[in-house]
Amino acid sequence: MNNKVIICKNCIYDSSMPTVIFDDNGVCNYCLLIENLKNQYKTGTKRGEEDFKKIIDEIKLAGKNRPYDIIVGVSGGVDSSFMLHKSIEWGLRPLAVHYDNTWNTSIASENIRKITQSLKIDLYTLVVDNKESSDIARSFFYANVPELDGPTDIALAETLYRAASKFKIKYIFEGHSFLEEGISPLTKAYIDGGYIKDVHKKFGRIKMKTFPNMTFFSFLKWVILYRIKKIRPFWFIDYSKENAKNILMNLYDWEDYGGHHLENRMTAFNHSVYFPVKFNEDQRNNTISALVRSGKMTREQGLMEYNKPHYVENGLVEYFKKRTNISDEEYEKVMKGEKKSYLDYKTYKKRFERLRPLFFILAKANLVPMSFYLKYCFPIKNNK
Amino acid sequence: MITIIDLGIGNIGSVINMVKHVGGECEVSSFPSVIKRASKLILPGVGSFDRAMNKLREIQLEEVIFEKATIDKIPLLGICLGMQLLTNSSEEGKEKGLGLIQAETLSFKKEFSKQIIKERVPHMGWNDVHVLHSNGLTENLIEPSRFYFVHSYYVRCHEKKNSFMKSHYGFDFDSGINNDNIYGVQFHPEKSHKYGKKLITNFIKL
Repeated sequence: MNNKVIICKNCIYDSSMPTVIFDDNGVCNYCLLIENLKNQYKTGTKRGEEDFKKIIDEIKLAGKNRPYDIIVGVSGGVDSSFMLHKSIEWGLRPLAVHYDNTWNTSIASENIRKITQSLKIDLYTLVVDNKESSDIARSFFYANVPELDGPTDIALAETLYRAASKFKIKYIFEGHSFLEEGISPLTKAYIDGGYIKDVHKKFGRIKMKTFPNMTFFSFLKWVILYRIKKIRPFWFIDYSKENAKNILMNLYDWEDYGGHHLENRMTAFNHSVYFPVKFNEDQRNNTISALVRSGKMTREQGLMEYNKPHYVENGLVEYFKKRTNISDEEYEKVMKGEKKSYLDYKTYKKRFERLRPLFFILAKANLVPMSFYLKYCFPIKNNK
Repeated sequence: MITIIDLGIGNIGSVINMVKHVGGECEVSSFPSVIKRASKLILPGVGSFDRAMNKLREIQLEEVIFEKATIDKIPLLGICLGMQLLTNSSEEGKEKGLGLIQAETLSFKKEFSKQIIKERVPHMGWNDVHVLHSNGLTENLIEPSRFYFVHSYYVRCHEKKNSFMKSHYGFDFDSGINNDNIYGVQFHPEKSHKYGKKLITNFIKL
């Protein structure tokens, strides 16, 4: 077998990643996917802006006689902060919604406060009980699975939906940009509410009471009954993180926290310690590849950046151990221990696959993200 | 030929587009040698006051711009943060400004909390601009004109003669400042459609 790793000519994805394939010119399928998305959404062109303007008009019409037009989920990071700023510029009335998993850095909380107060935007926050949050993190750690941060994603999604239904809002804005972040490759990482329930049942020590889990039925309720739509403005309009940062710092005294996803300690631990050490996988290549593709970084700079060690905030690992009450020995044991995946636990995946035709229709109607349909409704080939 | 100063912070594409759109010629540069032979300068700006001033010093442009404006007396237009850089100082940072116009850059937030004004910060969107006295830039501008603003800090001139445009957000502030060949506007002409076109056309004609 030939073990030579091939690296894409256009970005830095390589053949060691499952689902990455190359064309005759040595360009990977994800570069192609991004090109297709760019053509489809006319990102950053006049057409893209006009299409987005039509969506805004539609949203304003739907929000008439209601206190808010849209929900913007906020983390204190650059994308969601900038989304609040743009929403006001577009003449929308956003409700900022924050899911606090109690692992926030103070910079993130301060950023949220600065922007919402300056722009006089109402903020709805759901705070999970901190012991419960630690317990769920510990469960995923002991379950030996890579989705340490998955529960936060699910809880955020559920919190956004709950706020949307409570305030009768039909649209949720998401700050994702495929030009800046890429599309994360289909890997074996997976998350849903059933998975969280099962892992917590097996490894949790206290009852789950305040954690906003999304069950299979609540998911269907939000998308079918409430028909809450998710919109990604940065798929249409020109967006640059660097630019956004400058604007935020100047207008709001916003503070940089030094790296993608590092505004939250759980995410930071997952991203810079747990994932690379235990699973030997590096998620930075998504962002770096995106920057290389869009010419914001040369391929050489990208590879250099990728080969740098992870930046780990002082005391991050200690913080994780302390919060989850895991001893040094136990920690080392798990970090070097077996690797499991969602296939070892109960999830909704089979149900999603069975209902694939339904989710196709929902994805077409913007009610679930297309990426959900592509990722969650098909069996993932195990080509390890 | 207009030389647009590129500090490498923030997007200056829309300024370039606007100049070209109204038939002007322009070049973009951050090199002292190029700026030295410029006949007309635009200093655009997004970003923070200190970062921009430090950048100007780092690439050795502070002195060049000062000389071009005061000795060669070529037309210079500062836009948004670029206008604030023309003043003596800013409440946003600690660095000294270029000091080309006797004025200070102050914080909306601070003043709003003092006066108990319940407006959003930043001042964002379209707003009226009133011409206080005319100069080369104000030719054919109707009264009031409407321009596009995005800023959290505003400028207050020491002397009335240096303020040629005013706008209202919570209170009156100087939205256009001028000292001889040196001009600054707080709004973004490059994002202000027909009014912006007129103003940039006027600048080209200076």
